[in-house]
Amino acid sequence: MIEFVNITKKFKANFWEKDFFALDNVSFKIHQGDLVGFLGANGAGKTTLIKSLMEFSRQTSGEIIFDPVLGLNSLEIKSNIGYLPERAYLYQHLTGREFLNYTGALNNISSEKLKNLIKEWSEKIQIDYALDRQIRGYSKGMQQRLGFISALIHGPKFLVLDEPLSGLDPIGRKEFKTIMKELNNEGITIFFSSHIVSDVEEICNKVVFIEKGKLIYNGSIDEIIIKNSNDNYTLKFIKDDVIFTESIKENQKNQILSNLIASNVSILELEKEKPTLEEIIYKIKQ
Amino acid sequence: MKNILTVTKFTFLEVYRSKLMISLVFLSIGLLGVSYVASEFAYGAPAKVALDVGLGIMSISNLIISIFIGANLINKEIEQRTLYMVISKPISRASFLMGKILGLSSVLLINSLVLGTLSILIYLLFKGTYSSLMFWTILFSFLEAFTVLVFAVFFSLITNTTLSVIFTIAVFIVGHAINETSKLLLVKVSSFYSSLIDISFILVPNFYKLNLKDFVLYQQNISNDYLLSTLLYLAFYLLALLSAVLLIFKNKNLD
Repeated sequence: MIEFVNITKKFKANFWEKDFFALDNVSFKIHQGDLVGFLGANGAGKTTLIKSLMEFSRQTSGEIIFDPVLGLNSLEIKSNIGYLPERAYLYQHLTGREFLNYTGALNNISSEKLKNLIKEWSEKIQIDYALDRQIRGYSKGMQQRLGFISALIHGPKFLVLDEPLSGLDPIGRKEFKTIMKELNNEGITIFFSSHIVSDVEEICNKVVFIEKGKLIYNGSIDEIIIKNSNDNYTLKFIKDDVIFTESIKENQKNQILSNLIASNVSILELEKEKPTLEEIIYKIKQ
Repeated sequence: MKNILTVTKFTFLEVYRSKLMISLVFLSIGLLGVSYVASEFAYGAPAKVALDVGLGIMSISNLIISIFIGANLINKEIEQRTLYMVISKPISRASFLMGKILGLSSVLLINSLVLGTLSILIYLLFKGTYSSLMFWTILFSFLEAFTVLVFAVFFSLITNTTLSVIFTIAVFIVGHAINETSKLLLVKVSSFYSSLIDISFILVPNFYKLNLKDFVLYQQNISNDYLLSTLLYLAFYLLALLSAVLLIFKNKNLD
């Protein structure tokens, strides 16, 4: 759906200073129907890449190729993309409803349809009670919810979300993640940046990981976990009212289990050991 | 065009709801007070003084709005990241910028109409004589403020807010002084100065042409040709300036 080809972005504070590479030859593809987590520490270059994708700033070199299914020119492509910036600051003197009318009108949605969509989405995202208040009275989480509606109200084919979960309370985070999964199941491709690995692991099927502007990993989450897993199993059992946890090798598994059962030990759990994505990312960074 | 009007509408709403409109109300009340006090001190010509003060306050408030809000019009959007939510929609950068400029201009227009009409009413209340030139004075004051606004936006796109305020004020001063400066003997005898003035006439708008206040106050006639040629001059000037502003914004990296 979208291909990043050798994207490099250089910054220079002063002409006598050395170039700073915010992005260094980053290449990867996002396929239709993917839910891609874009991971990286603060300052890794995530927002810079998203700004290039949204044409807010130009990359120093490289190319971003859009699938014709998104459109053939910039305006057509934008009409099929929904975007939520990091820490969405909205027009403080407009009400929530006016803001959604504003962005909805720019997406060429008729006023009647827009009215229904605002009702539907504001109830789903639970911001309907505040729609007629000026945004300056909104909390950060409420603004994030409003921004989220604005990003998806026109039914985009591709959603770009820059740190969408920051500023949300735990319930809000859970709701956003559920909605993102639902949208993805409906066929919307989602690309969202985060520095919280567990969020990405929970809902994404693919991950792109960058560090200091360089691409470190791009691919399936399952694949990277399997690749970094060993053959060990974790065995939990109760013996003399004490719970034991042991790590056993694959080839010893059957023998140990037989012995324990024979000695009337209660087996609680046998699970293949696999590292979390966070552990793998940490290992890669090391 | 629809997108430009959408941005215009919501920019106007945003500015209208800010403290600017409350300032306009206070300014109007102040204008009434100042005009009354000034006319009391003006022996024999209270109407003229009331109109002079009223139109002066209108011009100054227009300029304050254009310079200070104009210099922040786009920079504030970038700093507060509000423009990302808008330009990520299917709207061209040119349409967005035109909508922003027109949105703020509609505030300027309201300011000109409210304060201008109020000044004329006070003038008529003091038994002044109505002249159609008063309408032209309000229109030209609005156009002057609009030009200053576009300059403020232009400078804000290539420098920071503080510098753009300074540069815009400089353009305003030079624009007013250039006409009289060109008549100085020093300029006439020096080829260097006269070339400098010629260049200034191209780069900086001749705001002197837009100042009709003296014609109104001293009830002098002014030809329609002068009014129309001034309008045409400004239209071409604004076309060139707006094209430059749109081109810069189109290619600007919004980091």
